[in-house]
Amino acid sequence: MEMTDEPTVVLPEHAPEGDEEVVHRLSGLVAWLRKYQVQAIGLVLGAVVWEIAGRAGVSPAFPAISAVFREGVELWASQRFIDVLKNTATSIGIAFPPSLVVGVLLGLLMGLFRPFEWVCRPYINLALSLPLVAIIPIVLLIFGLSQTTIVVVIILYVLPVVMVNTFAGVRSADADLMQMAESFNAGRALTLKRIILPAARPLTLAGIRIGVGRAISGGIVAEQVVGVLGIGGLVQRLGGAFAVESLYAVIIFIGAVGVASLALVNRIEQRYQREGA
Amino acid sequence: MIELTSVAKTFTRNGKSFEALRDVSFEVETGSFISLIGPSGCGKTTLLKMMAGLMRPTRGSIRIDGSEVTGAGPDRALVFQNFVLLPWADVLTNAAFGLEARGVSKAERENAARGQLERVGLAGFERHYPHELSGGMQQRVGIARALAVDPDTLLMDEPFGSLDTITRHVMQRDLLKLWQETATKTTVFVTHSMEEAALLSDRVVIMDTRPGRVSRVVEVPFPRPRVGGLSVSAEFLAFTAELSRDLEQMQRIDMARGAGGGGDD
Amino acid sequence: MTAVERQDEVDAEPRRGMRSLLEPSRLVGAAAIVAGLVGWEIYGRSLDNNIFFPTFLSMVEALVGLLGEADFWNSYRLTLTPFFWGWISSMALGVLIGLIAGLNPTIWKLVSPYVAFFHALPVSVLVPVVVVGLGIGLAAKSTVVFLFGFFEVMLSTVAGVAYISEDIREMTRSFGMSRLRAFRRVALPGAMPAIMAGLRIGTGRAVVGMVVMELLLVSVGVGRLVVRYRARFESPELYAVVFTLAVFGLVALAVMRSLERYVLRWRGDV
Repeated sequence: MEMTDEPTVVLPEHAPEGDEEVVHRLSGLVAWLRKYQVQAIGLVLGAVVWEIAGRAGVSPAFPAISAVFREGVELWASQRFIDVLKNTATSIGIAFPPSLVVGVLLGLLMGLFRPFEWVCRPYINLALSLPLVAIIPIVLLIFGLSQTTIVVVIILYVLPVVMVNTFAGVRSADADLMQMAESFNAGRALTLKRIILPAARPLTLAGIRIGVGRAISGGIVAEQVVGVLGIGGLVQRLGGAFAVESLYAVIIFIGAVGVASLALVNRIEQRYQREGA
Repeated sequence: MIELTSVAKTFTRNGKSFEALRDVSFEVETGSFISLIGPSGCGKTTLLKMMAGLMRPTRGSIRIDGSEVTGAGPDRALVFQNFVLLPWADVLTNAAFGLEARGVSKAERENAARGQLERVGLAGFERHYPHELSGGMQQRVGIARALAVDPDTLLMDEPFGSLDTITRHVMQRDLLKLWQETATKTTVFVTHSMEEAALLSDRVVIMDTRPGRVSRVVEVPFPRPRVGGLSVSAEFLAFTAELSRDLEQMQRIDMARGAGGGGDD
Repeated sequence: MTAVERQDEVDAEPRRGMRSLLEPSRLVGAAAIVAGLVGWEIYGRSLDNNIFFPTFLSMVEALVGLLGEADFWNSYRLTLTPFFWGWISSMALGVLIGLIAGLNPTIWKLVSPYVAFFHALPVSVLVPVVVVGLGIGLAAKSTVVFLFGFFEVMLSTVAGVAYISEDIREMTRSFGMSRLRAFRRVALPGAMPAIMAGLRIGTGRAVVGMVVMELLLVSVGVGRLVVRYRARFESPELYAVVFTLAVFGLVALAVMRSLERYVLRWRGDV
């Protein structure tokens, strides 16, 4: 067969090298600033309004943002802050990886074996539609004011979303591809390797992304209820002491970590996605 | 030889049954090329998938060289209308898929796939991904994948149906050449286009709708080896014009009978 | 294809009649729930000391007891009042501000850095700030509920308005529709599915906010019961209270889902 139709090949863009890269980065920064100038203005505008409101003493809940940052610089570097941070990171570090592994495995099993799906489904549905925070008092009753409580809550927050997304990923495998595999007499193992697992990847990754957010929010809210542990505990103590500037400094830190980890996970997700599609 | 005897297929969806095919019988001689053609909803794709072993007839039988088709088999390979390539695998892995399914070793299957890719004009594209290729090139991968398993029977489900006219033309001519060079593969080709059917096949099975059934079987009178230029000859045009009139007639009657096609394609 | 974060997104199967109730999937699911409850009961009984893990039946018994107490209902009244105000205002303001931001790209861009920040922030950390500003009264409690619900509703509304398909926009422009008319005839109905989804999800979040409020603020409502039963180690009662909170969450979602179905009945597929 002769090649008569013109190949329309999309070549990957080559990254600039050496000096070009510096130029590229600078122009990238300029382009970025131009693209996001309105957002930057919004950010500054909000800070100015906040500063004015703070100085005017509108409410004790609105300290001037300059005071927040003055306080923050000191707090963020303090041993006390690093300790609570470590504590929270440990809880998430203990709870998240096993939730991920078990969640993905159970999700795969749910996707592959219908009876297993039928068994799990009502529980997953419940876990996803109940106000899960309400379970904290029970976990607290069982495990007391300890890190175990935090770890268990994080697992309860993460496991169902990872499971259900992996499951949905398996089920998203294209019916045409499955039929194609059947037409070539492909066995279960090959179909799993070549079709089901790659098809499940995007949603599995999305489940992990959502799981990261839920690990952070579940862990912190549990710490707040427990009151003595981790960054959530710190938030409660600062609030109780009316140390508003420090409180805001912690909140800004948590938000920044939240934004950064979401961005990071998004990036990882996109990279993996690109490799495929 | 493929023998279809009184094949019928009824689908049941939400408690309503739909008769897709009724009493379809014909034969395909070994080494011949036949086309199935008919208006939308005549069940031609269903028929092809049943020959592939992906669906079972409700009644009747499909036999290949005397033995009943009960499932997909290594003697047949299917080429899909929308290519159905693995988007996350490169061209070589895609073309080697059928052999991988048979447990052929990596080196061996990739070697065979390379050979077929070369035949369909894709040498040098082994490491590209499907989304980097045009539709025509993607279907070439689909054809290479089918040829790589060296099937006795090639089943093609409107393989050029989703390509633009020019690409479609090129693909038809390339397939004609390829098939005549090999000339051993029994081929069943589903199409909407009378020109395509007449250019490529030895016989054309014309089907009608509601329920899907064989209207008539026409011998294509042009001798082989054929060349692409055939399609502009006066005899060819006269031949296809007559058959097209028939098809158009069926389509109009079908439309007059009620809204919608409601078939398999 | 979107990721699943909530149960509603999993359950694609529509309508359930008597026939579908008898499907194997539902039978197995129901059996799994029953098996879970039986297992719970057996495990609870097997424990020498089931103070942390009461049996299912003792919880049911405690629940029946609670439902007969005036104190229980009074606590719920005190919890649902701030929930109601916080919920209704998060719905109203969420849609209103979402519409404004969604229809004005500049406004949206101006606020987007803060939206991104608050979106990534666990809302519960704002609770102490609310306490500092508003104390622990009705206003503070309603505000906590509001903060939980508001962002979901607003973001969903913005997404709904901002991403009405380009084809439809072009169509309205080609017919020279006035802006107001285009809003009423095209933008609003086009955004309605997203808005209704936002209201439903926001309601779920508001219920979470209500529970957080009860757990973190000095409570006079259901939270007070939780604290009391935990302190006294009356675990069947504690489990029962948590159970009622869960049921309230499920009922609230179910109500919002039927509202959504009703409003979007033109879609025919929800």
